[in-house]
Amino acid sequence: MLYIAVDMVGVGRVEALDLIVRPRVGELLRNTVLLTTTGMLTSAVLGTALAWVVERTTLPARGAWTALLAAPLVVPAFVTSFGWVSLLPSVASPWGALLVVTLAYYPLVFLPVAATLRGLDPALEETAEALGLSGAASFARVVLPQLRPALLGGSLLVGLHLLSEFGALQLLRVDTFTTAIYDQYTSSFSGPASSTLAAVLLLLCLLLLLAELRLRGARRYAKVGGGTARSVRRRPLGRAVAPVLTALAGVVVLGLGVPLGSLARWLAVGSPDGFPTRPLATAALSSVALGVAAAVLVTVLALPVALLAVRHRSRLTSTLERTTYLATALPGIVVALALVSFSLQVLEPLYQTTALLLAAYAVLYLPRAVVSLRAAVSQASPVLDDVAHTLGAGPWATTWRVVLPLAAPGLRVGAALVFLGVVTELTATLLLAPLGTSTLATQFWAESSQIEYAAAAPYAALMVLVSAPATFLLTRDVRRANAL
Amino acid sequence: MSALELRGICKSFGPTQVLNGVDLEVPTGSLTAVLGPSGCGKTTLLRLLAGFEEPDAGTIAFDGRPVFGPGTCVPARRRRVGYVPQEGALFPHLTIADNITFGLPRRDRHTGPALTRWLELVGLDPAVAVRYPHELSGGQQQRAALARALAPDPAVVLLDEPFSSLDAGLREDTGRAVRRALRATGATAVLVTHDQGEALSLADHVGVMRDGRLVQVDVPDTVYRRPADAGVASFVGGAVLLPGTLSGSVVRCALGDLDTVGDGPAGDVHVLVRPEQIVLGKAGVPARVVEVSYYGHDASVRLELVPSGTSIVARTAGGGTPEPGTDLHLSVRGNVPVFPAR
Repeated sequence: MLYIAVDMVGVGRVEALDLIVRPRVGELLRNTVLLTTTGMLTSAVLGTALAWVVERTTLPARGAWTALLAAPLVVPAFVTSFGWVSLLPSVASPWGALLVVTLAYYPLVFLPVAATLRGLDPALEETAEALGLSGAASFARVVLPQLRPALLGGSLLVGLHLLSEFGALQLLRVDTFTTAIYDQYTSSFSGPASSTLAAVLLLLCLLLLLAELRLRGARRYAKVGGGTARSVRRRPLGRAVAPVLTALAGVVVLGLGVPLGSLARWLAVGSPDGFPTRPLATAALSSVALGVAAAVLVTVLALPVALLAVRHRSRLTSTLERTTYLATALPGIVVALALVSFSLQVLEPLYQTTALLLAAYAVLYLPRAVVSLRAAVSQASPVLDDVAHTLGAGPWATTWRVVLPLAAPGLRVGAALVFLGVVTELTATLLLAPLGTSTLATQFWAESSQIEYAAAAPYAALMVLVSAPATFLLTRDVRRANAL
Repeated sequence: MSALELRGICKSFGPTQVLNGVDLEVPTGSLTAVLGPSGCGKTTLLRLLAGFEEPDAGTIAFDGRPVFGPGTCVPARRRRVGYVPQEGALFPHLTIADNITFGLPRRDRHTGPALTRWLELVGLDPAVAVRYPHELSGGQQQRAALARALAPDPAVVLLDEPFSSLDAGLREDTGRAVRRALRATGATAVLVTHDQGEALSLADHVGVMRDGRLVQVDVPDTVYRRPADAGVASFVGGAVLLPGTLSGSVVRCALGDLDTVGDGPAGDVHVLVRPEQIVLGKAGVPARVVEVSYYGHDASVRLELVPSGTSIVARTAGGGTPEPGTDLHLSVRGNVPVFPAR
């Protein structure tokens, strides 16, 4: 982030102003803001509606629907977009882009809202109804306010993803800041111009983050008082069952069926010539190797941050934690640009090394790992530390024998999140990967941007396959909750 | 000799003085209960003993060996204290066996016979050794937590309201099991509680804590029958406090002329009458029944003296409890303590 600022200074105030205030930037700004806001809105509406149907009605086979509706998360947005574009070239338009990004990102709202609905005490709704509110009114006045953190958090994630989305939008021929930065960078290596655009993008991300913080406010949504929540009374679907099932099936077909189907089609088309096994294997290997290395590195870095943040609350630690939270708003392309200019100006030998790429991954994915670890560490109550101390265990022994085993599930989830992110990461990898290193994502990108759809498909298929175990790990908790 | 000796312990959190010069001696092998309302500082006292926090002033010694004092502060893990917090706080990722052997040196952690002995000592079926804490009932968890605290042979066992999360029936059983296990191992223990029944029934000594001080430390019977002041009297059990005039060993009050426990300087005093000392019958001071709370094994009867209207609470054995509005007479059984009027 600092390097973007330094670069800007290098450009000079007048020149920078010229670079920002020009029609091209205005157009990019309009595109980006429009797509981000509409995409957030449609994802929020679709995600909430689906979550309500799954959690609050007598929908048959709810567990299966939850899994199917969350599944688009497994498919990277640029693969979804590839599926649509290669099947229906006319989708490459602003409206098409809205459709595709909504289908790719609504699960980011669906999952947290469904989880909140599941945890919501039904007594709240029953009380509202006893006070004379209709079903719709009680949803609007009681349930929706409770959903606010989940809804805002999910929408924020959608917005940040949209701001930093590169592959999907490039394929859909929609220019936003991220795609423009990439074009600028690859066509002319124009540092100052791309840095200026990156600064505007960064500003948008921070604005979004601030808006979310502001809207969420400091209200408490915790359950007041004791008592165990009972299971919820579900609304019978009755005659609506057929249309609802059709609608759900439609979402699954559009969001999951189309990308996977078209992937399968291109695989079938490409197979007569046989697959290029060697490049496929090399790319898969480097994807997995980078993913594992980044997962280990980031988890090791995240652990002290999480431990300090939970156990030793102080101004320093909460600042540290907030800094990593801010980093969630950093688009991959901004991080990559900053690291490029950093290595070129300060540590030349680092440029185009795996170490620099891993550093980019660390900046990008540290927040995810910290969030999941933090939750896990705070599960381990401090009284357990006290007990361990009285039993003769010192601080290290206590961490090793008590805190870490308790945080293990969070550790696994954090590592899986990082692995998934890295395997499907495109922008930073394109900019920072050492010459000759290609991952599944970059190979897929190289082929599909030359409209070699059949050649691109096996890379995408492998990418989905490689991320499957990590996804399985991540969704295990959700599936367990549903099985109960 | 005392296994535990506290002298002049003070502790403040910011501007709030929580402990204000606490002195306490706990004889080796005995159980002392620190009894007080919530916020009186009793949990802080326990945390200072365990070494989780440091006192601002004072000294703490275990078996004559100072663990806190000028220039000394032994950390929690070297104090050899056994700690049983509220709700047990067993390590959720470990089996009961691994929990109990947590504090033992590595080579001793897999000794079957010793483990069985600890389980039997606290009254747990040896079969629970392989289970995880969430598979046990609250009472069983508490017993396992005690076994874990006792296993490394601690100098002092500290129990922080260990029964407050259990329901009434379980509480008594678990309390007795804990008492037996402590006796069997000869452990010295401090129990912190706000439940006077628990303190009086389990402890060898009861220390009553108020506003950061121990106002009385004595055997349970003395604390109940001869409380140090009116405040202790009304905290330890039900109390009817009446103004009276003392002369010699007889006090004159609204319930008549009563024999006192010991005597004091003649003059105005407060008289403590325990509700179970009041006999409802045909002799004594006239009164009218106002309210009856029936508990089965006994009943609590609220009365007003006629004609003064002074409010009196009596506790009578169940059966034959009077109806509200009944007129009857009150007399007092046994001797009563008196306190100088303020």
